[in-house]
Amino acid sequence: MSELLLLLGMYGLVGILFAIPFVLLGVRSIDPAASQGTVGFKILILPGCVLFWPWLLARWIRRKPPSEEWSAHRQGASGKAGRKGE
Amino acid sequence: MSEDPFFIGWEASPERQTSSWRISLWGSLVLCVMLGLLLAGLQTNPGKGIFAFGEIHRYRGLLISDPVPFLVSKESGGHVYLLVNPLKYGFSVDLAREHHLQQVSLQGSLIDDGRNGMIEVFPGSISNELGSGEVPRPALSSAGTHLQLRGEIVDSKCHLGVMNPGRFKPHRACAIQCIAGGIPPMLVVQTSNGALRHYLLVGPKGETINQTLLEFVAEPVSIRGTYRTIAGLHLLYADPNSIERL
Amino acid sequence: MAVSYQAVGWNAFKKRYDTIMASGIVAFLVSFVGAGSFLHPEMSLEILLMRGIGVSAFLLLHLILVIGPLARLDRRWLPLLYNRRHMGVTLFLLAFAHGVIATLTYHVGSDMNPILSVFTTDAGARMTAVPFQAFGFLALAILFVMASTSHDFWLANLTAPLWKTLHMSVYLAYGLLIAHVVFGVLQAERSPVYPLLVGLGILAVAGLHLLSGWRGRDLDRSPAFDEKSGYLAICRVDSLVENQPLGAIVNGERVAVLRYEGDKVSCVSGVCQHQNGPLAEGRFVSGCLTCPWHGYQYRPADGTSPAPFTERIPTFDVRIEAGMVWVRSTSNPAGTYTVPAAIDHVRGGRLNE
Repeated sequence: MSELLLLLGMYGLVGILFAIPFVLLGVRSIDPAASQGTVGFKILILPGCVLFWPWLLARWIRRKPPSEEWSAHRQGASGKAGRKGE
Repeated sequence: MSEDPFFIGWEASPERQTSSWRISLWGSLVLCVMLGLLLAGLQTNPGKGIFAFGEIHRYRGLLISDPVPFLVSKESGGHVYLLVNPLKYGFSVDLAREHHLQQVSLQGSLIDDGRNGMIEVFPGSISNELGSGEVPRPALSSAGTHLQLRGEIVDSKCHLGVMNPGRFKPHRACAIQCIAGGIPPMLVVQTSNGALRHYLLVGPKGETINQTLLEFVAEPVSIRGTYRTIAGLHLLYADPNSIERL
Repeated sequence: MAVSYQAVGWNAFKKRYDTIMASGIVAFLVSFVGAGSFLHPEMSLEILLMRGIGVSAFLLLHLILVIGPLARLDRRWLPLLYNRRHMGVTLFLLAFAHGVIATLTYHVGSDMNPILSVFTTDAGARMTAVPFQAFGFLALAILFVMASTSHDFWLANLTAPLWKTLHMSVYLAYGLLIAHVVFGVLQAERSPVYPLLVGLGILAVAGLHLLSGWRGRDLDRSPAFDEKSGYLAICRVDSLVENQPLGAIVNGERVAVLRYEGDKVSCVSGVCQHQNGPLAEGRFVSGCLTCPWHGYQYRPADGTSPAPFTERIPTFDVRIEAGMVWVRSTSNPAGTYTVPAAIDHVRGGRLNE
């Protein structure tokens, strides 16, 4: 039990070390909408970055933008994405 | 439906709906205040002990280490104070033995529920005090009475005033930590007229049985043992094998 | 919705909303602590505060949980839903304060690590000794995950379905907190009002969810499918109310069929890209189908948000035949323009392609 606590503590510590450079530099390379994010925005997403650091780190390395959501209508759409014009 | 209410948050202009805003604000305020009063008012009486946290006084008297560490005071007419350490720790067993039956001076904060007094001893403040006006050694009532009692095991420190309420389920973990840390365990017995009686729990030979009691803390239990008093303290020399959950 | 992220997209409504919420919480805490210390002057202040904050968090959680079904049952509750996430974050902050005070009071000061103590000290299997603090701690952990991912950045990056699933864990937290309260403070308090109120709370949350689910059951029936054409018969043309979409299940998910600008009929996926809100319960406002939850907008013909916004949802081909609205069972990719079907007013609707 105490080993588990230690493990969780270490995960959190690495997360904190990761989160600060991530919100300052990394976040804009995975989400274009974050490139002009305000300071308040960066502070608000910090706790989540500590929580999800392995996933965000993997995306930061691959510069992977947000994927499209999975839903029956989006996955089952006919043909390739693109507009037929307006 | 002639009216089709559809709300768009970013478009809503509260300036035009001042009356509904006022009603929401005052309505929720009144509701919250009433709920606060109701839910606070219905709470069970938490107990009436006090803990003079941060107020450190000097106490002088005779230190007794067995069966629980206590001080028979010199000043306040032989008043008896149980001794404990800060936080969730009992008074040091070694220190109590070292000063057993000696006139001492110590500093600490008072814990008192009106009948039982206790001192949270300031670490390192105890010293021998030689001189006049020695306090006589109190006698243990010789013939004990055999009793079977029903009540709840708590730690004496919290229950006598450090925490009000210092009983029941929410306090269970705290009481377990305190008793494990050496604070004298106490049986709280509710009499038929609702009054509470307190019995400090020790083993059949006056030894500490704190570790044995941990699994029974803050539950209704029945205990058999021999009742004795010393210097006004009520003690139950309990048989740990007799404890039953009710 | 925001093109660039900011901390909070403040508007006049959100400010009023937060003012009411904050003043309600402060009023509750002041009256609880005030009445408590007046009636029980000996009560430890930390315990009184812990209880007041804990009760306010528990009440707020009930409010949060009933807003959804209430808004479904009666649209006049929708404004409460609009800024619900501020309530959620506030709930976490209150619960956190409660947890910190409880841990400091009951677990700090012994040889054991306080967090470890929360999980081990009061563990037991009997009714009078069932652990309760561990339940509270786990619920707090869930609330932390939810509060820390409440910003739209997380919604966009986790994608709405995943984000929603994550935030559905509020029901797990609710269950844990019921156990926390029932096996905790209810074992100590003697007034029957407390268990009565907890019971009423559970009834309200469960009852309203069941009721709104039962009311919405018609929406979740699949319409008749014509295999030859690949189209589904959704409804009669004359049953469509202008500017009010109609929901139906197509391809396992809800669509919104909308009659607008007089004689046009379009169909888009009924799942808003933001929080997967129920577009079929929205309205056609200023040229766009508007989500009832947070006002996200999509043009009915191409399922695209007007510039500068970038949200896009799948569209469906629609045709009108013999007075019936038919929707193609296969969706078009998000943002695809489809020609709206036109209602022939003279003959009450005919084939139009």
